[in-house]
Amino acid sequence: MNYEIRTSKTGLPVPVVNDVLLHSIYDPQREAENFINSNQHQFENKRKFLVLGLGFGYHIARMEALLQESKKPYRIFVIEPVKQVAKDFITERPVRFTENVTILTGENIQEFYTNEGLINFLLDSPGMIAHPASFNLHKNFFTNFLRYETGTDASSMLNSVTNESIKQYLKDSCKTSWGEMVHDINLSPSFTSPEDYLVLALSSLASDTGTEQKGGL
Amino acid sequence: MNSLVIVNFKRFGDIYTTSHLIQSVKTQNPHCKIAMVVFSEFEQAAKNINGVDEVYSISRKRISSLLKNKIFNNAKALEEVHQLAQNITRGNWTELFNMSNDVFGTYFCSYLKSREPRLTLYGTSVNKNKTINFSNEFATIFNDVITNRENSPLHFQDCYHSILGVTRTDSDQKLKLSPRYNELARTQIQQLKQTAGENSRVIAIQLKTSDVNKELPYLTMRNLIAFLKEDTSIVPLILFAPIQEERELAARINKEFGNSLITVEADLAAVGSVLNNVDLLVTPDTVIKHIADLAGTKVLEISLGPSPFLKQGPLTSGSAVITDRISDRNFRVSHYRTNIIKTRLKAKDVYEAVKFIMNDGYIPSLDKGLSLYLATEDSMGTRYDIVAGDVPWNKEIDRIASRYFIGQTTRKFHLDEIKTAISNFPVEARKNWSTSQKERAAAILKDLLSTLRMLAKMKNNAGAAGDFISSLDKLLNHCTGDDLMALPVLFFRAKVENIQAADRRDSINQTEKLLYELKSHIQRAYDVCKSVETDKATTTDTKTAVTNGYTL
Repeated sequence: MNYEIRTSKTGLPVPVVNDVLLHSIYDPQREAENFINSNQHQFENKRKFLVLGLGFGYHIARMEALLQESKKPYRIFVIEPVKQVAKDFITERPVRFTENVTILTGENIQEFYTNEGLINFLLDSPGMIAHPASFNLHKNFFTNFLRYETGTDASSMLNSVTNESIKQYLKDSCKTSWGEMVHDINLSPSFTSPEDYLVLALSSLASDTGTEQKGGL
Repeated sequence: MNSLVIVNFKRFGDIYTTSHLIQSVKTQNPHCKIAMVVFSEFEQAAKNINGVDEVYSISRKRISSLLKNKIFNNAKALEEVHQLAQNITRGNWTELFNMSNDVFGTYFCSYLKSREPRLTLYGTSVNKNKTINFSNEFATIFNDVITNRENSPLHFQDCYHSILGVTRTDSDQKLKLSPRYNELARTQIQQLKQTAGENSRVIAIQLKTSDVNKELPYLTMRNLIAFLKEDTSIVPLILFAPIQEERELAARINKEFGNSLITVEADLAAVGSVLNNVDLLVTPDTVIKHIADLAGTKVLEISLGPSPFLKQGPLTSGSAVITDRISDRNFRVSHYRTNIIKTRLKAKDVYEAVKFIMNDGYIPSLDKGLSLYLATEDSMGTRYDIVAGDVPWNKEIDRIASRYFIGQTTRKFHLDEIKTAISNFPVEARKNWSTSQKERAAAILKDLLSTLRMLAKMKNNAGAAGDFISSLDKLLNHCTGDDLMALPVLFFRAKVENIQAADRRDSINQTEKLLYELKSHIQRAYDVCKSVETDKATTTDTKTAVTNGYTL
């Protein structure tokens, strides 16, 4: 990977990866302003955003400025695959973020999805902003990030929980996958563990029949 | 009752109506601590209920995302629900009520019970051997009767109270009102009345529900407001929530009246104060209806589309429900995904119902195909009596007769209590209904006697078990009818499926005992048929009983 930092006409640092400029070499801040303005509709209903691509953060600083106008709480998570870019951003500090912004960096997609903070953030259905230069440069990475599917196999499930009694239950009951476990519980003439009840409760919720007032249980 | 956890994974309306039960529990057990377990989307509603000491919650949206979105893991959802259960069990609660009665709530409550065996569980649960347990007959009724029947013999609230074994109590503490909002609403509504005249009434009209299929069509709503506005004794007050869609609808209607309407924008925290001060609320099936009920304000419910019918209707005595004839309605939510709502209800009919509620002795005249029910009281709680319109007699007679049977089976309930209801039923219709039910009783008894014979055979010959099971299956098939005669069989099924026997002999003895109990219950249901059919006080015919009569 070729990587360097150039200086824009306005004197701000601009990272260049594999000869691709991640921001305007003339005026990165003006470019960021235009970019965020063109996505203004996204900011009307959401207060949480996942940003794909850090670059040197001009677009994120502009986002923060816009979100701060309404004085309501907001939260931003940034995904940047190139660690060096993130590292230099912190060193160079061309713009500053508030504590509402979290930067996650790395190339291992699976690792992102073990991050409790990111999982909790994604569960709140954040809006998504792709930084065009970064996204185009790392199209495969971001596409795979967005299409990521966690496994339903026993070991993936074990990795995703921290509670010891749930871990033990999964070790005892989940031989292959979640689906198989539900199947086994359904076929068994009796419950072998109290947690079986919770698995069937969740199974009903997943099929959208769990809270229907139908009676005839 | 020391401390009670109420599990209610339902929506706003159901959360608010829990207040009826909570006030009854608190009145009869002043020191009882009460917690509610709800989805976090409705946590604030639970916190707004007087008498709730603690609220446990879990986000349905979050759990659904964990389960359905492939970037997350189901095990994480399991961990979070487990955490919720742990938080609850740490509270050392003594009693647990599965008010949800859905699959999720029932498994969740069953889990809590299996973790904390000292908990007394009320309602429906699943035991270790996967059989359904009902804490009493009312839990069976709730699970198998009132949730499945189109016209329930019992109100949900009365069923909840009976499951928990508490008496429904009147209380002015059901609704948490802001003193400031309440005073403001009282003063302004008083001013409206003074301006309109001494005997004027302020009638609030709720425009929207969360389901368009439960709403009056726009033109009907507009025409209803026109009728109310023309009536000099009525001040209509248009209610809407602080959301754009409702604001626009209120503005659109108001514009049609030259912006002369009184409109009130109120959120759930403030609307109670408004409803507490008006004389009547006219509304489709919505949370606002339940809030009016908590305020003790009369309600005219416009029951349309998939709205549950007479199950969670208005409780305040003197309230009423207007509907298309029940036999013309389709209650399945899925039906309305591909079909638009059809109703014969016109503005004039709703206005007639308003006049009926507001004026003693007024006889409403409804268009064909509509029915009007009045909320009244007997010792089992709220009962709805048909007071005008077209009636599918079979369903109506069966509803009241089923109530009578449930009352007789579970408490001292006298025929006198439902006399006013059955006096509306024509003799011929009662006879027809009774004949069909007696035929049902004969068929059930035939299968019951066959089952008893097979049981006797099995006592001496274990090889006859197959024949016994076949005859028992045939007997249990009689549960499927949504009529009076299904009730004794449903009660029997609930008990026979939960026999806890020491050995085979004990199991046979217990089954035999239950079969004889079923026989006596069938006899009781048969007697109910005879009482309803022959009661001498009930000799009125259709024309005198119900305004528009009925085409048999």
